[in-house]
Amino acid sequence: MEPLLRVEDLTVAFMEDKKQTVVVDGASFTVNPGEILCIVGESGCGKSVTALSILGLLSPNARILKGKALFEGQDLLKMSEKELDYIRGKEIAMIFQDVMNSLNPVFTVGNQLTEAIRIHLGYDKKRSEEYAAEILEKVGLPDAQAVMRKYPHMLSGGMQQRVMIAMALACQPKLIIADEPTTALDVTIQLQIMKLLAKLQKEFQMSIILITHDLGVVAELADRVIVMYAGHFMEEAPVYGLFDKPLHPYTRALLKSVPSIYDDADKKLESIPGTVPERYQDIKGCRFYDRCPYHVPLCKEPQPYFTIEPGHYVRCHRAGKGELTYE
Amino acid sequence: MNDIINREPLIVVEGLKKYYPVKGHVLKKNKPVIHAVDGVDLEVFEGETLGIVGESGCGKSTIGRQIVALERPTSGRVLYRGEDISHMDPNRLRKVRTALQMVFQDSTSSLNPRKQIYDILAAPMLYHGIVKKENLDEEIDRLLNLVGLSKNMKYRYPHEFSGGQRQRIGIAKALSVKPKVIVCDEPVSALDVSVQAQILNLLKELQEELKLTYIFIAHGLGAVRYISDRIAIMYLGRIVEIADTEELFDNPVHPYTKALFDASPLPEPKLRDRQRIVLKGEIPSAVSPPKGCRFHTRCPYAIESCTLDDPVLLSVKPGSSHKAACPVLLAKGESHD
Repeated sequence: MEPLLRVEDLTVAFMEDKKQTVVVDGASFTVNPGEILCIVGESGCGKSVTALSILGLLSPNARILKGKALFEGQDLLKMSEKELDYIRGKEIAMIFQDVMNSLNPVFTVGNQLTEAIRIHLGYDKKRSEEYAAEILEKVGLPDAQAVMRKYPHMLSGGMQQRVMIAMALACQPKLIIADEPTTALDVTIQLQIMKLLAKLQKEFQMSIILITHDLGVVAELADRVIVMYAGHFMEEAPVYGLFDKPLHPYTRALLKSVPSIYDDADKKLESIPGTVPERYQDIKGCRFYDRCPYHVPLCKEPQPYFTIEPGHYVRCHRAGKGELTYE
Repeated sequence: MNDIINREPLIVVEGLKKYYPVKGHVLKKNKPVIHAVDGVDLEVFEGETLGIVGESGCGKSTIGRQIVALERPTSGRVLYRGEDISHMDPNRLRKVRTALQMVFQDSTSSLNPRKQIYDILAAPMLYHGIVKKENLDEEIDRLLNLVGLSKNMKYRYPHEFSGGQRQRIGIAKALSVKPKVIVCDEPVSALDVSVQAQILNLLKELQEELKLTYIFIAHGLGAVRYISDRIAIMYLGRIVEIADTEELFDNPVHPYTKALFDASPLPEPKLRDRQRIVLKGEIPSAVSPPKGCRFHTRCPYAIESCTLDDPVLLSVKPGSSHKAACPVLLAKGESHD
């Protein structure tokens, strides 16, 4: 199967006082048609930057140092703003965590929703309104006419997120990039939105890149998972494989540090000692070295990305050679 | 935790109500109010951790603020060792307050950015006369050591620390006045998971070492379960269920509790298609909460009487400390499904 999106060796840096800090270091991955790929990691690991750079949405002080992002064969990173405008919204849409700042407060929901439809699909006013109402119903806002007349601040957080999803869906994109789409929501609303995303993804046969820090959300939605740490991809695997048999010590530690409602009562949570290194671009070897209980001198050397089996990769020479067996 | 039943509670919350005026509406006669907490009774025993769980706007943080007397309730009262702290005169309250401390979610805005850690920790101790000036250095080193920070860090400013380290400073600050009770208001919600576990373990160790009593407020069920001996579930200003932690997770009774458990994402992909309650709709406004049971607008089990009668907390079994405010499911005896 030809992947929908192929990212190769993507390297992104932020410039500050003429110094550059690499935040995404040689990221390569593919997104297949009709799958949900999750990129999971803790704050500052570079997961959002990876996603934003695909759509040319980085802040002005960011530089893409090298790499390709081939969407249906075309390199998005080489496109002009004008060419990207055609792709953004139409072919690839984005859902943000911070909905309140992503919707325009001075226009009604109907206004914002129909704008995209008119521009990208060329519908007239009446037809675009009918179509907008149809989409709002699809995302679980049955009283579409009333919602369209409202301004974003008049809606609850959950409803705003539904409107965002409706806007993303409007032009039936092939790929949706969702950056922490449920993080700001309460759990009962989060479940509604996760169910909705899963349903729509199947119905429209879309691909989704889901950026999250929450392993619970990953377990609920993902087909494949990439674990990111300090700008590096540490492990990539199908979701069942990753949760059953995590190979990288970081993946394993991450899974062990989530308190679950099904744990034994007296189980002690395993925390990861220390913190994420600052200025990690200067670290030649494994970036998890200081916090890893399994480190050996060879970990100070650059770590290749081992293939365990097709689709399962790990950046750890010990795990890659099968030296680490947990428990 | 069965032995606590015979003990005197350290904190008693009685008929607590806290309403806040809605902004604007200055000229209206009947000014609308937010019913943040609307009739809560609660007991907290010495040495235990009581978790309070609920979604945003359920009133869990408001209860926390009343317990440390940061605000006065609209009606009802909070007793600490039998003394009413909700209506206490300020001089006496200042003394009592050292026993009741709070750790906040947002460690960035609860630490003064212009002060070094040394001063942040020294100020409350000097104000309350906890230590003599000559012992101050020693005491600050001891506090930093207690929360797992190096004493070399005391001349740094808050922005030089990571989120997890700042939360440790927040805990050290609360500990500096030798409290008995600490209200932890979402202390780990803003932290990454690997750091969350560090802070949760630290809180547990400190509790054992210093015999502290915690009120742990959070929306993440995993963390609450990990640290709490008992848990109260809140919805729209009311407690809908309260029980010992194990009992609550083994045998949830209230439909909202069940829905909350079901909605909590599990780090186990095999369970993603499990049967579960998906609540319809949104949390109603606390300005005009629904009549009858406040949950009836979203409840899959609601019957007509739920729209009329305001349910009270009842024991699940006679004499049980597990209580739920749902007469429908209690009558059905569905507690053991």
